[in-house]
Amino acid sequence: MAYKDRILIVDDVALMRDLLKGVLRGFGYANVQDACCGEDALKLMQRDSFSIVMLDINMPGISGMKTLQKLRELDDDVFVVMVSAHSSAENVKQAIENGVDGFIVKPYTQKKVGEMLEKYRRRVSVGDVG
Amino acid sequence: MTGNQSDSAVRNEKIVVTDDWTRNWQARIAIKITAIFLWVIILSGFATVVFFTKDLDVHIEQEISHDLDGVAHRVQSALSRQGSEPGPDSGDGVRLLIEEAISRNGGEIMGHAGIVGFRFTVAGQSLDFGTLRTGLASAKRRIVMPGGVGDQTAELEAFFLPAADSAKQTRQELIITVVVVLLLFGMLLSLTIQNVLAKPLQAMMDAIQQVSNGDLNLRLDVSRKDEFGHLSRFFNQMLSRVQTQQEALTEANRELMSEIAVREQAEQKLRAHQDTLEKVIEERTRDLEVARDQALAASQTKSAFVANVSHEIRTPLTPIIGFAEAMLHGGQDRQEQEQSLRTIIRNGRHLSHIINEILDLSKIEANSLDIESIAVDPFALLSDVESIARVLADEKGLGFQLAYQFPIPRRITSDPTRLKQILMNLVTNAIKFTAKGQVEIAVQYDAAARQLKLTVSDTGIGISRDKIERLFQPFSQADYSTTRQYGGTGLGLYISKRLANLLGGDISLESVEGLGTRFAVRVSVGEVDELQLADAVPAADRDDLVDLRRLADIQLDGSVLLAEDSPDIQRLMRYLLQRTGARVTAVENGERAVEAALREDYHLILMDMQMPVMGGCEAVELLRASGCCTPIVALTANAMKEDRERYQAIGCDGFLPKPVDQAKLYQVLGQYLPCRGDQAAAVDPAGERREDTGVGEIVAQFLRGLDDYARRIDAALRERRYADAQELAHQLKGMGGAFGYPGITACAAELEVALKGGDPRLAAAPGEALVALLNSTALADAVPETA
Repeated sequence: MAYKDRILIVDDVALMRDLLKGVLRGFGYANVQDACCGEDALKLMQRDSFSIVMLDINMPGISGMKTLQKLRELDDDVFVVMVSAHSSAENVKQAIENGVDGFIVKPYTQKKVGEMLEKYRRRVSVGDVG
Repeated sequence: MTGNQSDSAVRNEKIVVTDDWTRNWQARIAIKITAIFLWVIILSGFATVVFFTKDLDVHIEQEISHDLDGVAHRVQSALSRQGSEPGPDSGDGVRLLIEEAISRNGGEIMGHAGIVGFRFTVAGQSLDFGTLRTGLASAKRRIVMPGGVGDQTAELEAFFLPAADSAKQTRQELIITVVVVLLLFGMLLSLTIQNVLAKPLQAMMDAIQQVSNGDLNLRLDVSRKDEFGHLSRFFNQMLSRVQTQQEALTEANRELMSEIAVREQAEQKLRAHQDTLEKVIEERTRDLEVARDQALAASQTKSAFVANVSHEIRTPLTPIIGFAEAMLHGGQDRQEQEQSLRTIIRNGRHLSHIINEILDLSKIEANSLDIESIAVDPFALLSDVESIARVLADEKGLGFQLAYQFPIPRRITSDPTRLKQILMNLVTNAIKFTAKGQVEIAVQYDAAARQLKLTVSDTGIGISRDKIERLFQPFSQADYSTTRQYGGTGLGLYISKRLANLLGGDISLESVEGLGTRFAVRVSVGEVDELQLADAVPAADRDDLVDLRRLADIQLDGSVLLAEDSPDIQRLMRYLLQRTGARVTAVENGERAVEAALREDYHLILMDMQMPVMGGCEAVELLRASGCCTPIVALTANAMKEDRERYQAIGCDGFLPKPVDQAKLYQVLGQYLPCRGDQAAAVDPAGERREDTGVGEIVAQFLRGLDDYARRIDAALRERRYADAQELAHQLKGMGGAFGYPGITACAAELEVALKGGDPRLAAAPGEALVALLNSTALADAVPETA
């Protein structure tokens, strides 16, 4: 099953970006772009539209949480997943307050990513019906 | 009404006055004036008569004398002419002459005032004229006869009525004339007065009378120019004014009446309201009194209840605490320890039973007991009851029998939990109060009433007739000595009866003291398919039933996250879970649970709902919001339906009431955890990578990069670039597990923590360990993965 949804991965570690890309491809999402920091991600967001943003928290420059806030100002609809090793409940709570749609803790399993994508598809299909 | 009456009364009074007026003739002014005038006229007429007849006698005598003189003169003259020319017969000639002389006025002697006759006497000879009678007065005149010797003398005598008689006659005539004239005049006067005075007066009076009778529309004739005209005008004016005022008055009166009517109506309403209010107040007061009495009675009952409950709770607590302390102090041999433990367990269960009954009772009293209505297999349910009852009966050396009277429906609609509760209560009661003999459950289907009849009979102590009535009241075993002897709260029968009522039936009781007791339970079976009636016990299909012994042997695989703040319950749960073979991670609050659940893959999360720091509800909400789809089963003592609905709404998949029932726990575990040996289901979540071809290359890349990481970490540590080392460790921590190497993550985390601690010496060991692990992993896995 191949999906056309555009996904943006934001992570400062190239290997992590590649890993996630690979995992996503495994789930049928090949239309993936990446950015190495929050600033780049926001620039890309202004230029293109994405269906899903996978966002690391701990990054040089503006943090993932700050990026999330700015990103929400740009786009209220986009499905944002935090992907972070910072898994404290406080972080999760803050991310949810800032409008995140999912939270994946590093190190993640493919299953977690799969569940998140499924959640996204459920939301899209509900949105289509609605 | 009252106004109209007073109005007519005033009018009647006026009419009475008017009637008096009309009846009293003396009050008639016209008659009075006429009478006065008549008096004046009569007096003046009388005066006139007197005046005219005062010298009438003299006057008559003079007139008679004068007339006699005239007649004598004419007779003299006539005789004188006769004497010179003598007639043929002197005697007759004289008579004729005299007659002519006295009757110049129409040949009659009369015509002279009062003279009735004459006598002419000549030489002894007399000639009579007129009517001569006695009683008359006379007067004489001398007449000289011509021609005779020496002139002869004759006499002329006039006879007349005496002067008084004549005057009297004249007077009478005059009076008659005057009276007649006066009468005529009086009539004329009367008529005139009638016209001028009485008529308009009468008209006015009539009008006034009419007006006084209430006819204000009347108007008088004002054509007259006199005072009556003015009076009529004024009267009319007055009448108009009166009419206007009357109309205004009537209008005002009407307004007043309507206002009075409105007021009366309002008053009536007010009175009605007042009555109603008083009634309501009375009713309320009565209700309040009843309520107060009820509340007082309830309060007394509750006080007795609380006293009883605390007693009932303390009773099993005493051996629990006592034996537990005894064990803690030691000195018991193994057999004694086991004995103590059994006592503790038995009393603990009893305590749990009491609390459950009290909860049931409070729910029943608050009408908040939820009754299910689902399909129930009566045979399976009774078999469950039988299996427990038989064990209990065996322990006491009693016989037990379950007797079906067919046909019995295969499926009924009821609440299996509550139905079982009733039966268990009755059966355990029966066993409790029976020393020898047997206990029997007889089952019968009443098709007409659509009820299942379950009779529980024993050969126990029985209940005396006077105590049966109290039996179904809360806290009333037959007497308190029974409570002491047999235990129990005295709630069971009351609860059972109420439950039977809720299940569309009732419980009845027959008992003979010393011989035994028979309880008959009837419960509604709902809609029953008559074709589904069984004529024998169906072949048991027990797969859906929970077999405790089998469950204890259940072998499961998989991981469970347990969030529970109470260390004791955590320990118990861990024990129960691990006994099945499941791996358990226990955390003590919601925050830890969120972190763990997001970090690891669990097959199931058991979440206590009341925890410090972060409660279960918030944790579940956070997990669901962050995309976690691991099944979550709520652990809670809040067994109310609305609580369960709330937990479901926030994302819980199931619900386990506390204290946790082992059977239910194992049922839930079996539902979510794979069985051991069931490889397809028990795949370790991290192992999935091996089935996914797309990730293989990435993993290989990760492995190839490991020695680079090892070198960089080693260099950073040696060159004391601790911040770099920490960053590298953090990255590895994030990647290791994700690529299927949780060991790397754990090791990297250890290093990160050590570096964060600020003491580089502590980082040496984990650093070395990590470098070694990285190197070994790269060597061990890189070749086969890439191959």
